[in-house]
Amino acid sequence: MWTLLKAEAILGYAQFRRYFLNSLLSLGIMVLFFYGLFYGIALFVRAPLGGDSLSSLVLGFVVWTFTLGILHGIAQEIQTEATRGTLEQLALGRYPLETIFILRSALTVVVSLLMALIIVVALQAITGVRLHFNPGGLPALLILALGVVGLSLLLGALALYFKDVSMLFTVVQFGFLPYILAAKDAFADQALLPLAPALHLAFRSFVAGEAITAAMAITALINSLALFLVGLGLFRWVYGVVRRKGNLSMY
Amino acid sequence: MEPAQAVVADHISKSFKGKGALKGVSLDLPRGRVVGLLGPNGAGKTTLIKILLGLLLADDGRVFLRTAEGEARVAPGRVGVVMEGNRNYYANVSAMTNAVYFASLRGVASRTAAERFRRWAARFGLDEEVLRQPLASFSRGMQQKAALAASLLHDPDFVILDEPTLGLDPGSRLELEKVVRELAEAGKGLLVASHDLEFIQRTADRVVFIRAGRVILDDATAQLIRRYERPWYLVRTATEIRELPPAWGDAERWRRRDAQTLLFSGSWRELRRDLCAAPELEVASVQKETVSLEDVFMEIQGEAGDVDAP
Repeated sequence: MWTLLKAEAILGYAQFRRYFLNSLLSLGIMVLFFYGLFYGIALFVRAPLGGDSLSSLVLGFVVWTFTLGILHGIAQEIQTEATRGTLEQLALGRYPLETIFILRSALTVVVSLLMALIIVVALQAITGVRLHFNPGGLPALLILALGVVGLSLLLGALALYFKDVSMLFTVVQFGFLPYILAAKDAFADQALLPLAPALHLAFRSFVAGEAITAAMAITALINSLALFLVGLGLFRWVYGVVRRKGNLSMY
Repeated sequence: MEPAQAVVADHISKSFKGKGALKGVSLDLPRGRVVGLLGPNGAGKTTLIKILLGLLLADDGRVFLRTAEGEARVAPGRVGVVMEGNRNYYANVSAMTNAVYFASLRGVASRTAAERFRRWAARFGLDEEVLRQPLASFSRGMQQKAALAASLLHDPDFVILDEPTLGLDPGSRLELEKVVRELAEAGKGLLVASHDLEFIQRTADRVVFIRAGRVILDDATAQLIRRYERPWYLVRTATEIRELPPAWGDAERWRRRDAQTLLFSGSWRELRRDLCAAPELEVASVQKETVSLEDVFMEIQGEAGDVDAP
């Protein structure tokens, strides 16, 4: 697995260098965004700079980026690989196709979170503002990630079969925002709703820094695990279907 | 004697939307041998290759690895492959990054992969500087060379090459011939699907001819050529031949190659007899020909005209 992780890092870095300007611009946009958050909030809400509201906003944004990054990652990667025609080459390796895509999307999210962390730390140093961050909330983020990977595999399965599902990304992105907002509070008790317990857990623990119970964590874990297994099962089934139909490489 | 380890395709059938692409195809790819896979366009060669690689699932039949101990699954890591066209790499990054990445997917450490790639690429005339360039800037032939070199980095037991000579210059083609023979001598099994019949003739120990989804011939290359070998004569005329002389009757032994060339299959005595019987033919030259795989291919194509029927 280490060899695969290293290979994905090398390929990712090569792509980053190849499209240097675009990579730099995305970094610039992120800097501007956080800069806007740090200064803009004071301007708009006429509140003192920093404090809990800013922490919530920044950490909320982190959860949002994290969730959407993973959610779209797998399907987007499959679509890109199918367009390039390299999907078959990936399938010829010793690692299952889904492992490659999960790892690739995880790597992308980790890199973007690291970039966000560096920017936030730098801005804290410049502005003197301190954000309240609860490291104990990180496991909640991992539980959330497990479920989101499941959903992403579902989208990936659709991309594997239909090849181009870019419009679906847009629909999901717009639909997901109100769902996240509702799930973190209103759907908090809905254990059967996909991702709702994990979202509630992540916002409560990671963003708000509030205490969580074991029951909340277990419910979120079971919900996320079920989503992951459903996503994985469907992805593998669709992979079998496309291999039977012979349209793995077709775009 | 113990049978050599081999990838075996056993009675493979595959249909697409009710149309049979492969109809009970069996094929043996033993280690230490080069098998040439021939057939016209749409014969089912690529479908068979994809089934051997596990990229496509057969409707019927199975693919397995035959070993001295019995049967086993063909592990993806044991097979190296160059697919037809540019489906082998990321064109926007360097040849080296591509090679290291795809070798890593097959479990090779990046440093080992880079060293091996440098070595193989050098054999095809790609130097270190070139390997750092994006593959998109390569010519078709250079891309093919890079793909060939990259397919060998995980030291596979079996290598499948789909149209490997596509875009190669004569020097690189010759180098590939040597590499293919060397790999076979090193104990690897190679399946080479190609329309480059001269290449197949020079490299393959055995030829499998597939047409309309069926294997219609599977024989040792030398034996195949011997079987089809008989005296061939190329008869060039001074004037254009509009029709074969009526004195030759149904003229089974004669074939018109072009406006002023006839091909005769038979003995020298029979040729002389036919030419004497047609004095109106102004013969410019007569030349004895040897049989090539291309002649066999054309002959088999003609013989197998009826296999297209369902």
